[in-house]
Amino acid sequence: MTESRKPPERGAGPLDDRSLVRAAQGGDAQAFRALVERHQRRVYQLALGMVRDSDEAMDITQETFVRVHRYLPSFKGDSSFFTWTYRIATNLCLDSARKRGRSERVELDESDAEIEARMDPPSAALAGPHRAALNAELKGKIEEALATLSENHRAILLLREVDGLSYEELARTLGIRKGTVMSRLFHARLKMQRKLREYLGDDTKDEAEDEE
Amino acid sequence: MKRRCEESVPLIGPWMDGELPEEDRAWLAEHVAGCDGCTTRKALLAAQRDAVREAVVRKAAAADLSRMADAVLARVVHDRPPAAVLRLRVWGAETWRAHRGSISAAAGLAVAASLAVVALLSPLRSGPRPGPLLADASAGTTVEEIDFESHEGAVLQSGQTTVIWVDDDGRAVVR
Repeated sequence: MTESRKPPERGAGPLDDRSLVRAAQGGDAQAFRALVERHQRRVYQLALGMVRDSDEAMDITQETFVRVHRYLPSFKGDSSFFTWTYRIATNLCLDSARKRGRSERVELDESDAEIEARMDPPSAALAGPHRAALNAELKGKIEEALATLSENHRAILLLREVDGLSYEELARTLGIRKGTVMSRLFHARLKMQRKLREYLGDDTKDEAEDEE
Repeated sequence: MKRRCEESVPLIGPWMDGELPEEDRAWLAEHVAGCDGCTTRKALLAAQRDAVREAVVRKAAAADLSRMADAVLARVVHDRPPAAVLRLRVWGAETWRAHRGSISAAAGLAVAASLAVVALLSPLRSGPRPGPLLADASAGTTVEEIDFESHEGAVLQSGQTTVIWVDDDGRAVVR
């Protein structure tokens, strides 16, 4: 098993990312191969979530590692290797989306009305005995809901929920400030929630109101 | 309650992510525990997070990535400069990053010194150069006596040429 979900360099050992990067910088092809095999699944997951097309995600994954190889001599280790790699992958995903004209949506500040709407509590049924059934229904709607998000919102949501990047790592990967990470992630989750609640209809809300 | 919900809603996500500052954790936990709306928001965030993760991971798991590394290496094999060049490039970049200030200062000094040398040796430089201090003995003057007063001096004669030497502290009086 050469792939893992958690960043491998966080553990000690002779084959951690840092050692492999140094070896690869010196021209060791096997070390570079190990880096690719270690991170390819996570990069592919991100790309697939972003572009939602398996062939395009595969191309982006390959191009990500080609660029990693190209820029590896300039990698100083200021950030972790996987954060650096994710930054390249994220930029490629965003570029791809822009070329296809999918990022025309501009993220605007929320109006007061939206903020007020945010205060509407979701149905209590979501946390109750219906949750298991709801989760199953949610899974079926996730891709649809993700597709409605802007590229920036989708990127931060995937990097956080799927890859578990910390806010510091998100900031580095996306090239934004930590405060922006919190704000962007909040709005991404909120939009996702609203979309899922739309898909799920008002049943749960009605049930909750009946219970109250 | 309304006021506390407005405060807590944006912080529930960071709290679940383990990114909430210490000082906010206690009051937020207390509020959520006593607020049905925020308890539900928290549960929905967790369900959403799990659903997103499962959906994406499941879909990506179907992909065959076994030949990805070969494909990448095949593309980059011709781009790879020799290892020595790579190491030199990395060393140069790291040296520059670590000693950027010192390198800049040294380069500035070197340029300034070069300009100074050029200015001093330039053939365009003109004007009289200071020569030795000589008594003004015009042609046709007959020197009969030299009073060096308190100065050091000497008279050098060769054929028709007479040179009167005196030290820098004063002028000899030629009579």
